[in-house]
Amino acid sequence: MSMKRDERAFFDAVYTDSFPVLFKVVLRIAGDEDTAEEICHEAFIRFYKNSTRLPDADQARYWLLRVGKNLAFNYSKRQGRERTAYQRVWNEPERPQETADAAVLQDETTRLVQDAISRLPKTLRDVIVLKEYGDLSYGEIASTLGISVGNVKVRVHRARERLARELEEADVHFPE
Amino acid sequence: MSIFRNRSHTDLSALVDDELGPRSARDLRASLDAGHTPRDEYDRIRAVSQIVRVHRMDADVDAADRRVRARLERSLAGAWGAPRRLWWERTVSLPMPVVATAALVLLFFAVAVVDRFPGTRSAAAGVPQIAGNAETLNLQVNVNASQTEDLLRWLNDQNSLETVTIRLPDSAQFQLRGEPVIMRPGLPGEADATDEGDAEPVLTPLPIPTEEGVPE
Repeated sequence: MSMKRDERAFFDAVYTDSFPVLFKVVLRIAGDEDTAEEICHEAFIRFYKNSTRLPDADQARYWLLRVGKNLAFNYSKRQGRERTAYQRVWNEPERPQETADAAVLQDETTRLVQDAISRLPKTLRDVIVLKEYGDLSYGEIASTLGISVGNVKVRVHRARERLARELEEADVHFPE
Repeated sequence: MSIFRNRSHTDLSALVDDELGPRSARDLRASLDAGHTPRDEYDRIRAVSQIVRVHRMDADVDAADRRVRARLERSLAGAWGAPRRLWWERTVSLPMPVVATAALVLLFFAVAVVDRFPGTRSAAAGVPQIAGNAETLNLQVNVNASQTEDLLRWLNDQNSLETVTIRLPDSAQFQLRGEPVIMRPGLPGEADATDEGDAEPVLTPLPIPTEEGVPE
């Protein structure tokens, strides 16, 4: 016998359960809080429109993470294109001065790490973002992306190998 | 050997993430300690994970939660009571003049198509044409017993079929009475004695073919 679900209560439960991890993933991809809130809002509006198609809270959470992650990457890609165009016009590459202090170096490293992640192939980038930015387990990543746990394990490792190569080439200081 | 090596390397990330089972984790740690698996590789993988985590942005999630929740409340205010329908369940209202114009245009094209392809006028009109094109046309038609005579009459009216074969079921479920007779309308002027245009044509029996040949 199927009971009619209280959609309002379902929405609230999924929101409470999913918002923290969704916000963290989106924030770390998009890079600023206002944009992350905007994207989360958009993701939950889309969830409201599609919630009747999602059978349970787990599926809803994975769906939201997929949508939020994709919205954030699309935004990040647009921003990257705009930044590149701006730099080309003004010929002002974002490079720290030789006398830069630690904070600038820190910002530069953060940017290099984010750029290296955004250059990964989509299959590797998705798993590493959900792992390192969302702190999801391999099982949760597998459910979110619709792949096997074994596949997640292989992709996480390949993503880290690639990141290590790229960051080493960029002379990023690795913590001991 | 290389498969084992790749597997153990992949397990290094799983060990960093604490995603290996207890026994596998213990074995891999022992392998690292014994130098069978390169420790520098493990340290490198762990360092990458750490650097990504160190340089990720953090913010006040609770404050963001409150702001987004309040914004959603405003965006969805009044939306909860209204029934939600999927796109194919939604009704579309169109202005009457648009619908009338669209119907007229469709009608115009339909007439144009029918005029251009006379074969589309009726299925019955196409039967002689098909029969003329094909040397042998096999059709299986299921007809109610009470309408068999109507079908034969109609086939006769086409005046273009040479042979009609009726395959009866193997098990005889009916009785033949008398000689079979094929009825064909009489020739103009001799059969239609009443000379009324709309009257049914008079059917005259045709001679049955014998084993010696078709009789004249």
